[in-house]
Amino acid sequence: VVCKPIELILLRQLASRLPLGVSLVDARGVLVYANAPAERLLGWNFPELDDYPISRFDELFDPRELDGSRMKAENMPIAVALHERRPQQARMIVHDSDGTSHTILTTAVPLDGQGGMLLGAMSIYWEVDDVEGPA
Amino acid sequence: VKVTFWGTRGSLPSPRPGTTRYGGNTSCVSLRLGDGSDIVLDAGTGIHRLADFGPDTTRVDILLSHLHMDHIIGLGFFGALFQPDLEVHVWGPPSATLNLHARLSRYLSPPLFPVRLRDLPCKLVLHDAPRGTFDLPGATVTADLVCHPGPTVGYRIEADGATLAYIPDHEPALADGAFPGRPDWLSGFPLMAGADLLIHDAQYTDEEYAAHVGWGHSSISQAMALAEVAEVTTLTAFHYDPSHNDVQLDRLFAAAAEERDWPFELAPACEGTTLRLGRQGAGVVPS
Repeated sequence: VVCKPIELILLRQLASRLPLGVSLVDARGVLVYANAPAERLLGWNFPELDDYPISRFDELFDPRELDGSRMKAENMPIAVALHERRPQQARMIVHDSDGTSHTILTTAVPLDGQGGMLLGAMSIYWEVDDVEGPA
Repeated sequence: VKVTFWGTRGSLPSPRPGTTRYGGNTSCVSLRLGDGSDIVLDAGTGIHRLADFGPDTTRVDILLSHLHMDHIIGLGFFGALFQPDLEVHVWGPPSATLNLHARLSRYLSPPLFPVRLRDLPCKLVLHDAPRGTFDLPGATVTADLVCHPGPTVGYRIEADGATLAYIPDHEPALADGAFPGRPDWLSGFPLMAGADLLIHDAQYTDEEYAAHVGWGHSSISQAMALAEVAEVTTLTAFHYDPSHNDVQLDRLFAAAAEERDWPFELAPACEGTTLRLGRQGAGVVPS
């Protein structure tokens, strides 16, 4: 059994009680958890996507910039947070499992453990009505 | 491995007539390995009963699970620290802000304590316990952070062909409605898995736990569930609530053991008792 680090375990427990969408990826860059609000927003049954890599998130969510241009998976905030180890915020468009588009505001942060160990990344997101405004 | 319990109580020293059997001193367990090496787990008030080490001993390793007062309050009274020829290595959980020396110095310095760390006669070496596996004389140790307020580690110690897991303060059920749930999401699981002996937090009854969610401890039934999931051979309940006396603990452990046919032995820790593990004995044998 490959166990999750305690930081991910505690974040999962917290996220399971939040009304915002929360996704966790581990240090390998694979999805290990998304909470119920994330499932409601994006339409996916995330346990079925266990170990889905963020490098393929563009196939899953068809992410777009606000002007409609395609966003590469590597430019999604959670990928930036993981690979560049810095917070990233964006207002962007994603598509749910039915193909319906949603404008979301998302913030992703790297999960740095003690001693500089990279544990993964977390993104928080919620749907917004407007496409303007500060990201 | 010879495992001796010098302090079994949690949170607060609780010496009184009603706690003489399970014990009133706070967390301290010593391990004497087959090659003569000595490891001490935590430095609660129980550490004071550990006798001075003889001339054959050149090194003692103290593994601190965390720095809450009940786990370090006895450190300044540990005789080994005052033996000039002895090398004492203290390992503790890493912090994101201060090293172990700085954190321990908050207690081991005036006005809380008259002697500073730098003035101790022994050869003192402090280590942030690496998150992972490291070697000590005669043993391989794995440390990992576990669910308890503040930086807290549990230890898995492999020596003499036996495996012991020490997680004295642990709340893996925190806010987890599916507890114990999937092992890969279970705090401390890799430390406990398949251990011959699991020394684990068993502070509360289930009713008490419900009133103390988030305080960092487990109920007896949660410790039993963990031991089952982790497939340990023996569970040694530990870190008893200060309010629980011997009669109550007898009753609680009898009820827990009789609940059903558990796939492990329940052997609650009693202060002053010794267990033997691995090549020094067959399984866990009280001496």
